[in-house]
Amino acid sequence: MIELEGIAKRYEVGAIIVTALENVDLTINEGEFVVVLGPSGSGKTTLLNMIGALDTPTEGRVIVDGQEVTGASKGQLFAYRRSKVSFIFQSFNLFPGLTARENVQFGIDAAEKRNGDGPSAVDVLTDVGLGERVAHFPHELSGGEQQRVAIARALATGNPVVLADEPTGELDFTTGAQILELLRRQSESGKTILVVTHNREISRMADRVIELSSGNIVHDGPPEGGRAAISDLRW
Amino acid sequence: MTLRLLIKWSLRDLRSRWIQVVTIALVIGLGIGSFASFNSMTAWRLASNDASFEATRMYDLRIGLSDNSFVPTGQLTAAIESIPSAHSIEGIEERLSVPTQLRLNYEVEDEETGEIRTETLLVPGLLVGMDFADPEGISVNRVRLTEGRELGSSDDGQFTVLLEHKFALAYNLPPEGEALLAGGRTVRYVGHALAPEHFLVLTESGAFFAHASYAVVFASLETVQAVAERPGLVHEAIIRISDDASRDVIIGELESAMRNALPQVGFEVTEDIDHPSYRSITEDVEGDQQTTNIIAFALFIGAVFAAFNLTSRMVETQRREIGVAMALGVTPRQIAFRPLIAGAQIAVTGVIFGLIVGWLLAQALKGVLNEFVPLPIWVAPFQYGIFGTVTVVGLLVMLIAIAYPVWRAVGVNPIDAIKTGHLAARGGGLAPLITRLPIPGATFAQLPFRNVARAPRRAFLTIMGIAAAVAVTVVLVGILDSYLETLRQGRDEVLSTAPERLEIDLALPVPVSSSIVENVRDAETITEIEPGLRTFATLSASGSDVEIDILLRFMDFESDIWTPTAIEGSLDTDRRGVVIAQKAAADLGVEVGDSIVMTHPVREGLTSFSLQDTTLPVLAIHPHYIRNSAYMDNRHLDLLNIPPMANRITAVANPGAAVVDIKEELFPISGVVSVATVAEEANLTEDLLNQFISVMRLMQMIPLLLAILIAYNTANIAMDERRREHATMAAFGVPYRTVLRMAVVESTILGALATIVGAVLGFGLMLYITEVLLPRTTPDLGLVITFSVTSVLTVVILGVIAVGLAPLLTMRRLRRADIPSTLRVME
Repeated sequence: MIELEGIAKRYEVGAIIVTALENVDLTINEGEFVVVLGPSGSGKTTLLNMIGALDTPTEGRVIVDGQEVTGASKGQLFAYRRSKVSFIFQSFNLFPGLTARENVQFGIDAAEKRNGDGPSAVDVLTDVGLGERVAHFPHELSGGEQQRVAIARALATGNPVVLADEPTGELDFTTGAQILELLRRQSESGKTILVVTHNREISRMADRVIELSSGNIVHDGPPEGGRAAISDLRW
Repeated sequence: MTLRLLIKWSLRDLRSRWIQVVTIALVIGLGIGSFASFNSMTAWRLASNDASFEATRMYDLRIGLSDNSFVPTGQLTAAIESIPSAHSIEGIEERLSVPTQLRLNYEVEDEETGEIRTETLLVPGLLVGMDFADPEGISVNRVRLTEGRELGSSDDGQFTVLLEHKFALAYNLPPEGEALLAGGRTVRYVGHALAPEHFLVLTESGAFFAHASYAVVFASLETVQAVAERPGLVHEAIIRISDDASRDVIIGELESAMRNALPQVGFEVTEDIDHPSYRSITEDVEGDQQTTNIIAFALFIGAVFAAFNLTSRMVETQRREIGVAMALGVTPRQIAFRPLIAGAQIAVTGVIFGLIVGWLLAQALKGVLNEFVPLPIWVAPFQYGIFGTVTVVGLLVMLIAIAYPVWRAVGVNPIDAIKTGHLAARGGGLAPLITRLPIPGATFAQLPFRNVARAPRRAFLTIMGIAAAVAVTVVLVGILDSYLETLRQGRDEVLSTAPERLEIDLALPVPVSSSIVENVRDAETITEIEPGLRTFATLSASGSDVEIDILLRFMDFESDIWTPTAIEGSLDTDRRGVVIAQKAAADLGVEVGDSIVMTHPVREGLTSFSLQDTTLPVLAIHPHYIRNSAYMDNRHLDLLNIPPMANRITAVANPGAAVVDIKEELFPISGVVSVATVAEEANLTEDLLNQFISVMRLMQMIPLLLAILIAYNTANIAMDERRREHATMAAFGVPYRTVLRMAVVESTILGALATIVGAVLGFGLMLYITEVLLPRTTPDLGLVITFSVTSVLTVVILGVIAVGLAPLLTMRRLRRADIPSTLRVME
């Protein structure tokens, strides 16, 4: 589903070259729930941005669902993001002028899906437990509710890959757990989920944990001690 | 933190947003500059008028004999000197002015070949005779030489003349040359000169800006008496009185002295302000000031709204930093200091721009004014008071604009200030109100409306800034349209039938069977003539304190050539009555059938007329915009106690005869002073309007520029405020063009709302200017208030399209945005 071959990313900061990723080879299968774990500055968000085609690697190739992302034109990258990947952000990034339903509808519109091609915005919101809050604006919702709207927006696109950057970072434990449960359910229904976090506890509920340190993969495999249930997590 | 660090930091703030800073400064500069220069214009005009009229000793009072009355030289002076307040008289000049025609050659460069060829010019004009022999110079209405030499006693009766400066300038005439006057008299012009009654050249019928088509010629009194064949006669005296003298008292004494000295002669004592040229120059200043004040104030207010809004928004983008500073324990005063310094720097830049804009506009306006009314003395001192006041207001507005968001930011808990760091408005504003608005299309179509609605304060300030610019445009194009429509209707009326007909003016009224009329009738180029008579009169009505000076024309109401259109009533030949203009009827408060009082000349002797009041019914109302044009049928000439006479002949030319040929054929006929087609007369006013239009177009550039700057900066700041939304859109694969389209739609909504507000405001202002202010300065003009389709389009283009497209200028910024970094910003 997702293949990264020899990926490197280097930034020039003045006269200094900062290496964010170095020689990363990675394959992620369809329907996997993957947590990318690492401390701040380890390169995990850069990795997510490469897969999401928000950034381009200095070296290597990114292939998603058979489509090579590296070397694609800007227009092709926009089309790729519309049809292959969906983002969930730490700070939700909802549109404050749109209601919950409209924010989700935005995801459907952005993916150029026609009504009837998939579930409606209200259906998706109902799936994430916000069926009663569809007409509310973001500022009328709690942080957890806002993140659920953001997840609904990402899911409503119907894209096979969901990329979540610290999705629980602004949430309390209970709400965060609910969000993770929601994401987990999505992987069970066939979507490939990548969650970036620095919270090792979260990685316990993944199918697979990829640990980064200074731009290199230092661990790739199931969580230590096996996959835990959401109810077992503590942070 | 040291002051030095704060200043350096604020400078960095400015440098990082230099485009927004420059744009805000330009907005302030346009507001300050246009306000200051438009207001300075009034001060310059007043100062220049005073200096010019004082230097040329414009008369205070004038005794004018009724039409075609003349008295021997000295009689008027004797009557004036006999008044009890004679000690207050500083100067008296007796004059004889007669209409004439002037023919002369001038050189013109061929635009294509560059060759110089000689053209012949034949124009009507006025020959002004006064005493140049006085060794101390003319004591009243001096002519001020601009080229050539002065006239002196040696020129008395020598047929040497001076040409009016602007006429000579229009044809690039040399200081010396020869010209031919009506009747075939050759004169030698020896210089060009300006005179106070002709700073603004008006034709006898009152057409403005006639300097190129109406030749004023100055000569000695003896010369004019000889040319006019009125030896030893004059028909007016002009008087200067001391500043402390009472005009009313002296006018009363003069009227009494004239009635005693010349009981058979009709006369009128008038003041300088009654002279249409003087009145236009001096009174227009006040009227123009009110009009320009409105325009300048609207521009300034628009700039203030915009600067306030844009600066506030710029400072609001620093709220996160303010929150951090608060968290670090920095005092609110210290926090406020940095943005205030930055704002002061923007304001100072704006003031500098304002000075530059003001200076540039001042130069342009001075040039325009000098072209319109070339006064001999132009003074344009820097208006420290106006610039100072507007600068202080500009600075205060900027500081308030900065203090307001800072005050709001320090008024909340630091964590809330930090949390608002993502710049966009947090709340829904009015967005919930429009959720039910059925806007077709995807959410992309909804977003622009929601963005406008969720920040109502910002939207309001943006709208008001642009609306002010739109309002100014509406005022400018509305006034222009009204003038154009008025002229068009006037032209339609004049050219309704026989548009190729000619109007031939005679120097004096002559019997319709006289040789002059017969000579015109017999001209080969003429097929048909209708003699008529024109005279000055005054209209008044009971119950109205309005008095209207009219040019009364006796004509054949059953003419086949042309008659005025009766939009009310009819041209009844049997009833003795008068046909008046629509504006005159409105001003006098009369309708068809009502009685009005006409003060008109009545013949007393061979060359003397008295003035008499006659009550007459209003027969009909005609639509021409000049309220002083009035008509009576020839059959009622007995009103003036004269037999059938003529001083204006309407003629139909032979088909195929060129106008120049007709003029050449009629020029030698003694007594003919002017030959012009009615279309030429109409074109005269249009030439003037074309100059006026070019000025208006220049003025229109200011609100256009202001609106675009506001819209651009609004879009630019919005781009900052929404950068995370845009990055999110990009993350979802929404193309830049779609993002930009949303920005354009949002800007178009603002532009459309601003256009509606601006159009309403502007239309109200235009009505106030055209219906209240302009009638005070140009009461003779019946303006038809109009707003053309082209003008509607102009306003829509400015307010909706130009403003709507402004976000396209931010395309580069959008494309260059760092999406990953923007998305990572955390609250």
